[in-house]
Amino acid sequence: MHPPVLKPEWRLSANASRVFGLVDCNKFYASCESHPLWRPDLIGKPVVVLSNNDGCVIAMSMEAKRMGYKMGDPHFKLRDRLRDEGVTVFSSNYTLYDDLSNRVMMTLADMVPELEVYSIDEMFADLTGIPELQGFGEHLRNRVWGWVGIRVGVGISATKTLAKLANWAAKNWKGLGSVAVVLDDQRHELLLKRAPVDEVWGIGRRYAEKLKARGIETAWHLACCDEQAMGREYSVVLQRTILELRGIPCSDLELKAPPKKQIISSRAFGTRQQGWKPIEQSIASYVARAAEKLRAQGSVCRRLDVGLIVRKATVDSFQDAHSTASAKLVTHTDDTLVLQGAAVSLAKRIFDDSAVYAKSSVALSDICQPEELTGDMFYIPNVQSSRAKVLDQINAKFGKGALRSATTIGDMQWSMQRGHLSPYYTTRLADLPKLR
Amino acid sequence: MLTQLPHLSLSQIPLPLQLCKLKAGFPSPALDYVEDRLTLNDVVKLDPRYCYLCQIDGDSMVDYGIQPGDVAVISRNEPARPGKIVVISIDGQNTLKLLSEDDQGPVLLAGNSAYKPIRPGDGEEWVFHGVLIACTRLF
Repeated sequence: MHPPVLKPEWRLSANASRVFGLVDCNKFYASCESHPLWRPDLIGKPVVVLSNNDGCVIAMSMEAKRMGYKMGDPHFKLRDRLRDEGVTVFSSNYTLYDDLSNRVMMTLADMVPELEVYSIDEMFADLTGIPELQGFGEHLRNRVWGWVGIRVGVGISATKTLAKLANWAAKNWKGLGSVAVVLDDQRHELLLKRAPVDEVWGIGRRYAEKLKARGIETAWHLACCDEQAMGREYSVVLQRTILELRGIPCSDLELKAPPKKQIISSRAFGTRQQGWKPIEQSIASYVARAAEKLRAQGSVCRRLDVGLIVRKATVDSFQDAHSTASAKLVTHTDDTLVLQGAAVSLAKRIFDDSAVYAKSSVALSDICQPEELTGDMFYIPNVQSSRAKVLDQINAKFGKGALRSATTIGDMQWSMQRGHLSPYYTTRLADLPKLR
Repeated sequence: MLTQLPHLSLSQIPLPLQLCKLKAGFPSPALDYVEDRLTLNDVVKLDPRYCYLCQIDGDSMVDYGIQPGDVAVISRNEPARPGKIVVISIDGQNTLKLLSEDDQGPVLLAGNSAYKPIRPGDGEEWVFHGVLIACTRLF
C-alpha cells in the first residue's frame, strides 16, 4: 500500500458545512448506581452491574475497570473475588437508568437546537452555528453534572462519525477535559492518525480485521482510501463512513425513530422450568409486552415466531437446543389476545413435557402501519383492535399490568433473578433515598 | 364510542380552583373568567431535570419544621449559600443541614440542640449534592 495521503479536497476545511456533537454518559449504569444523592458512599469505589438474571458483568465503574474486571465476565466465576476485593455488585435496574437517561436528555434538549437520542446513554446534537464550541461543550458537561449528577463526555466535529470519534478521544486522551472539538485540519489529522480503525463508528470487529489485513489500521488509512472502490468492494455504508471521516455529512440527525420491523421479547428464566404452566405463562406475558410496543408505534403485525430453549450447562460452557415454530395470521393485527392465543398454540406444538427450559422467546414481524396495507379477499378494513386500545388506556391510568389476560396471572416462578437490585430511587415513593 | 381515559401522573392531578355548576339554558357568566387549574406543581415547581425527592429519616432538623417521614424536594440547580438548607455527605451518608457562616468560616447547623455544629476538617472541601427547596407532609 502507498503511504496514505489525504488529498487537499478531502481535508476537513474543504468539506465542513455542519457541526455535530455526540454527548455520552461516562460509565452510565455504574454512575446511576453510585449517584451522589443515594449512594455517596460509593463515589470513587469499584462497582459492577450484572446483566438480566445476574448472568455476567455488563457495566462497571472506572475503579472496577482498573482492578482488571472485564465486560462479559460471568458472575458465578467472580463471586468470591468481588467479595474479597470489596466490589459492590448490582443487578441491572433499567427503571432507574431510564429515568436518569431521560433527565440527561431533557437537560440537553433545552440547550441545543436539535437532539437525536441514539441510545440510553448517547445523544447526537446539531450544533451548527453555535460559537465558541469548546466553551459550549464544557457548559453542556457542567450543566448535566450539576443538574442530573451524571458525568458526560462531548465530541464535536463536522459529521456524526467524526463527532463520535472525537468523543472517543475526549474519553481516552489525557488533557482534553472530556470535551474534544475537532474542526480544524491539524486536529482532524491528529485524530484520524491516532484512532484505530476499530474505533470508527459502524466498523465492527469483523470488518476491522478485514481492513487491518490489508493495511488499513487507523481512521487515517481508511479516510485516504478511494471511497468508490471501497464502496464497490465492501458496502455503501463503508463508502459513506469514508466520506464522513473527511467531513462530508452523509447522515443527519434522526429525530424520530423509524418504526421497528421486528419486535422481540425474550429473556432467560430465573431458574430452569419444567412443565407447561410456566412456559404458557412466560409466552403470554412476552406477547403482551411485545404487542404493547407494537401498538406504541402504531403498527400491526402478521407473523409470529415462538422459541423454547433448553440449555445444557457444564462448569465453563453451555450448549443451547432451540425449538421454534412460526405462524402467519389471517390478517394483520395488534390485538394482545389474538396474538397470545396464536403464540400459546404454537408453543404447545413444540413443547416437550420432559425438557427443562432455560428461556423462551416471542418475535412479532411482518410489521407495517395500517395505512400501508392493501386489501385482499379477506381484508378487514379496521385491523387495529379497539379492545387493545381500551387495554392500553386502562393500563395507562391504573398502572402497568392492571388489566391483563388470565394466562399471565399467577406465581411467576420463571421471572428474572435480580439478587442485587437497587431501589427505584427516582420513580417509586417507597424507594426514595433517605436523608438524615 | 369509547370514552377517552385521561393519563394522570402524580404531579398533574388538577385541584379545582372554583366550582361551577352547569345550567341548561344560559351559559355561565363566569366562563370568560376561567383560569387554568392549579396543581401542586405550581407550588413546588418539581422540575424533572434537576429536582429529586428524598425522604427525611431522623430528627436533626425538627426545629426547622422538618420531620422524619417528610418528603423533601432537593434541587441541584440552586447554589449552596449560607442560609440555605443543603444536602452534604458526611462519612458516606447524606445529611440535611443549614449552611451558615460565622467568623470562623462555614458551619453546618442542625435544627436540634442535641446535634453539634459541624465545621470542615483540615483541608477538607465540602461538596454539596443539592439544596432543599420544599418539604411536604401529609396530615
